[in-house]
Parts: sequence; C-alpha cells; structure tokens
Amino acid sequence: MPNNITRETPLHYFHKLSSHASSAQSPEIFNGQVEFALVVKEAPLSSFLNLRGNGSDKGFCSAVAEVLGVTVPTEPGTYHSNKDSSIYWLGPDEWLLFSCIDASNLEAQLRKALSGHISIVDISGGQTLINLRGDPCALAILLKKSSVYDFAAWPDADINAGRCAQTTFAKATAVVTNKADGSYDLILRRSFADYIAKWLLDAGQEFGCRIEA
Amino acid sequence: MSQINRLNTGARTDSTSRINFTYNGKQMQGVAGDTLASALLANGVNVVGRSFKYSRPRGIVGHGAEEPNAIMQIGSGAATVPNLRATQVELYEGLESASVNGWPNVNFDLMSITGWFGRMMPPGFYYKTFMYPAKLWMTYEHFIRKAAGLGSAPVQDDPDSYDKLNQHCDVLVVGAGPAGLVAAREAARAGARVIIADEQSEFGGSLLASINSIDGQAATSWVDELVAELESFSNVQTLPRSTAFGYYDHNFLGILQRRTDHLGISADSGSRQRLHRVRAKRVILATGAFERPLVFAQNDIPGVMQASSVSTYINRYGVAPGNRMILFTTNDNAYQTAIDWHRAGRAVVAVVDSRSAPSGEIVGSGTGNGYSSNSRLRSD
Amino acid sequence: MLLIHCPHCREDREEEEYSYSGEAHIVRPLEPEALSDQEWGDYLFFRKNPKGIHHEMWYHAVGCRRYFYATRNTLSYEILETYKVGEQPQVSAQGAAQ
Ligand SMILES: [Zn+2]
Repeated sequence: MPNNITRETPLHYFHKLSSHASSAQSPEIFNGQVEFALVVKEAPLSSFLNLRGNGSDKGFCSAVAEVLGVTVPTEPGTYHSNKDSSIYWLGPDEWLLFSCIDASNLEAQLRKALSGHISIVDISGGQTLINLRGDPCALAILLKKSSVYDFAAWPDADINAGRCAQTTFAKATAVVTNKADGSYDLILRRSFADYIAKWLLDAGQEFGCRIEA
Repeated sequence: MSQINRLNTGARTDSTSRINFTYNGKQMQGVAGDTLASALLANGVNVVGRSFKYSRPRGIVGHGAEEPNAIMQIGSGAATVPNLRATQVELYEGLESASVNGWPNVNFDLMSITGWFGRMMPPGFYYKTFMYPAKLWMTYEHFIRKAAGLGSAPVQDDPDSYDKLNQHCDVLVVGAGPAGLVAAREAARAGARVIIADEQSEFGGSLLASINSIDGQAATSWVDELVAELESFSNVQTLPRSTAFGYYDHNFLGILQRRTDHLGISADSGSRQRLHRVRAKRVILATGAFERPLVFAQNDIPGVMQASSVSTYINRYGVAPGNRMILFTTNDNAYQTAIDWHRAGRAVVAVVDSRSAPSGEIVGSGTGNGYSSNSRLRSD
Repeated sequence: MLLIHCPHCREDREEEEYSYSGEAHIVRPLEPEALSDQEWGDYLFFRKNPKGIHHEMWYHAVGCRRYFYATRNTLSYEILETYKVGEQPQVSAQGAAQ
C-alpha cells in the first residue's frame, strides 16, 4: 500500500455544516442568544472488529478479556468498556469490538489467544462512531424522531458499562449506546453516515444542532 | 359588527383581551380563549354555510368535533387550510376565515333558488343524475362542486415542516376530561410513564363548560389544579391540541398534535404538526360523549343548536347565541341549559319535553330559577 | 404494527425490526431423492395457513439478526409466545381448543 494515501473518517468534512448555516461565524450562538442544544462529534479513525464465539465458554471470555482488558458482556443489549476499547453485545454469540488499538494488531492478538469455533472479521473500513450530546430533553426528542426503540427505558450508564441496541435509525440501522455522561454513541455504517448525519442536523434543527470537528 | 351576544361571564375567555379577525372579508372581534365558532356567534353570525343539494342555510350546531356545518377556509396564500371546523379553530390575531360553500356568498346564495322553487334540483335529486352522458360530467361537476363547496387547497408550496415521534409509555390516556385527568393522575402518582392527549386547546373536557363544583371548588379551578399537578410530574407528557386518530394492533396508537396552528404563523423552527406513534402498555379511552341531536322537521335551520353546545358557549366562552330560546328535550340533563340561558339574562320561551311527566331534581329547580312553570310546554 | 418479543434480545421490539419467514417447524427431508414429486412439492410449496393458532418463524433483521419462532393467532394477531429455534411451543391449536 502506498504511504501517501490519506485515511479519513466517513464524516471528516462534516464540521463545515450546521443546522443554521447563517450562524457559521459564531458557532456557539443559535437564534441570537441560545447555545446549540445538540452537538454531533465523530470519533477519530478507530478499529471495529466483529467477533463470534461461545459466550458461555469461560476460556473464550477470559481470553478476550485478557487481550482487551474488558470483560465480555453476556447480558443481551449491554456493553462493557475501558478507556481504549468497548465490547458491544450484538447477539447471543456475536459482539462488536471498538478500540483505538490498531485493527490488524488487535486481530492478531485475538487469534493468538482464542481457539476453537470462533470468527473475527475486521470491519473497520465500514463503520464509524459518532457521539450525540446536549440538552437531555432535546436528545430524547431527537432519538424519538429517529428510532422506534424505547431508549428512555434504559437505566443510566455506568462509567464502564451501559446499554446498547442494534435497531432502526432514520430508516437505516445503527448500534445505539448510552454513556455515563448522558450522551449517546451511534455506530453507523460508512455508506449511511452522510445520510444519518444530515438527518440528525435536520431533526435537531429546532434545538440548534452543530457538528464538532 | 360588534359582539352583540358577548357576556362577561365566560370561564375560559378573557373579555378584556380583544382579538381581531375577518370572516368572509368582514372585520370582526373576538376575545382571548375564543374558538372561531364562539367568536362568530358573539358577533351574531347565524348562517355559516349552505347545504350540498338544496343550498339551504346552515348555522352552528355544536361546539367541537361533532360540528357538521361550520366548515371554514382558514388563512390565505401558501398556508391556507380548507375545511376546518370553526368549533375547533382557536382564534388568533389576524385570523382570516371564509365559509367554504355558498355562491356567491352564504348570505345571498343564488343556488338557494333551487331551495325555493325546487325546479333545477328537485327534492330527492341525486347528484349522479348528472353523470350521464359521461362526457358532460366534467361540465356539470364544475358547477355542482361550486354549489356544494369543498374549500380550496393552496397552490404554493407548503412553507411548514412536519415531523413524527416514536413514543413509549405505560399508560396512554385519550381524553382529558374528568375521567381522563383522574386516571392520568393516579397512574402518574404510581410512577407509571403517562401520556395524556386531548384534541382541545386545554385540558378539562366537559368541565370547562361546567358551573358545578367538585370537592367543594369550582370545576374549572379543580381542573387547573389537577393539570398543574400532572405537569409537575417528570413521568407525564401532556399533549393538548392532539387528536388520537387510530388504535392499531398491540396498543399502537396514532396521535396528531397541532403545534403552531393556533398561533396563525408558520413555525420558524420545528414542525407545525407532529405525529406521535405511541406504543402503550395500557390504554385508557376517556373520550367522553356527543349529544345526540333530536330529529324533527326543519331541524337543520340556523338557530337550532345542541343543548350542551348552548351551555358550553354561555359558560365556557361567555357567548349567548341568541335572545329567546325554546328548549326541546327528552331528558333531565338539558334543563341545565335553560338555567344557564336564564342566568345569561335571556328569555326561555318554553321547555318542550317529550316525556309526559318529567320530574327530576333539576327539572323542579328550573321552575323558580330559569322560567315560569306556565311557560313550560309539553308535546302531549 | 405488531410488538414482538425477541427471545434472544429479551425485549419487546417493533415489527419494523423483523421480517417474517413463514411457517415454523418444517423439517427438510433427509433423503430428498427418495421422495415422490408430490411429497417434494408438499415440502417445498404447501403450507398450513390456518385460521387461528399458527407457529411461524421470524427474523430479527435489524436487531440480533437471529431467527426464532412465534405462536401467533392469525385472527386476533395476538402473539402468545416466542421461543428459540430448537425449542418446542407451549401453546398449540389442539391445546387452545381444549
Ligand atoms: Zn433479537
């Protein structure tokens, strides 16, 4: 691979847009006085791995925990994380790993630690993670506009654990998770990222929604 | 035209706060809290439309969703809306309204000649008579549509936006009258996630027009206290101006919320109307009841109105729709209307009761209160 | 719009997350070549389509992406149970009739 190729996240250009184009000069100001109630921020380039295996196999779980430093969540619709990595429950034998550790490095470590009937697929090129934060009421309405899932039924997240759900989002799909700070992470497919980001700007327009670079 | 029928006693109107509007191009005034219907009645407007076949004059009959006659074109230009019921349109400054049928206008209607002579459209005429030969239907339709009137759709692009929310709750209460409000309060106190929706501009339902008392206080202030309590709960969503229009499988309901229609302006931010797609664990339908109109000859002429509507216009809006009243009833309830009418300082000419010997508490109380006993007529 | 409980996600989810996958508990013949055309046709194309209790397969397409079974009343749309592949229904048409 030539060295001069620039790798960019799917939404690398998005900070140039906001729900109120005329206020681009003073991005903190919305309607003259109120701050933007919603902020969308894309995570930097990261690794996404799809992992499949037997969650009731103690050896499998401890090997994954050894590599990532995060225990495998076996309760449906939950995730565990530390400062570098997160493991999201996708199905009874399927997890999504999100990490700032280099993908090929991480995959090699996992393959070395795991044995038996497992699957690891590097899907880093096809995903992106965005964070949605802001006024809790505005966030709740934005999510109600976008998805049929009942996010309000979730308990608050802890610092290293919370809820996640793979569901419909803006007529596409996303993995939505809650965070300890009250914000939400969305994991989107790269091909839908532009569409969903524009959807968020439109749906958040009534509160003022901006993109943070 | 002045508000000749305005009283200063409306529980939910503020007669010191005037609102200007137009009806068929004429300047009129109503007050804060009015619907278009109550403001028209306050201004002494009797004829608000024409019937489809015979062009007979039509007046306001009801006070809510049941109104069959007062169908209006509201606003102008891109934001105009055809075929709204005047009884459901909240008055706002600068509101433009026009009756949708009657040509050239509802007060001088050329088509009503058919009503007088019955030649062009004889009684029992069925409009599809004109469909043959098929080629001429288009020609006929043009004039028949004009005769009937169905309002006109805006020709410009809609300036507003519309959105939808997916809602989830433990208890959905449809209707915020006394039953709905208490149900919502009990569910909320028990910690349930509650949504309560009502199509009217404010909660209270029939109590907004009631002069009775509940728990020792006026019904309207009882409503105010209860609504304030509901709004203090973080687990309660109150949706006024929201019509539940469908109840589908597994407690799935559709609710349309009108967010800015009562302001008369396009929303510069957010949506004009919002569709709530509600999935509820439990649903309480507390939608109340309509009065069933009585059937008698000429019961469609302007001035014939439901008894409950007369009481509502007097008590809620402070409007007495007329001067002299004959009350026709088959039950005790309607006697309250005679009492209300008398309290409004207007004459009850007669009470016609289809029963041979009406004798309820409220029937007797009317004798000394609303009208003299010798003015009471009976149909037998 | 149905509300369907996914036995894997252990949550009630909206119908739009699922896709319907036809009648449940249809076993593929072990020796297809030993079947008559009639028997093979019955296996491939013919379904019960009952009025009332029906066992059917659903796919949680945008959720956990797993198949599962549901017992549904095709008359009232009531879903009486959902269960994982490999499990047997607790509610049956015969049982409901008794
Ligand atoms: Zn599932």
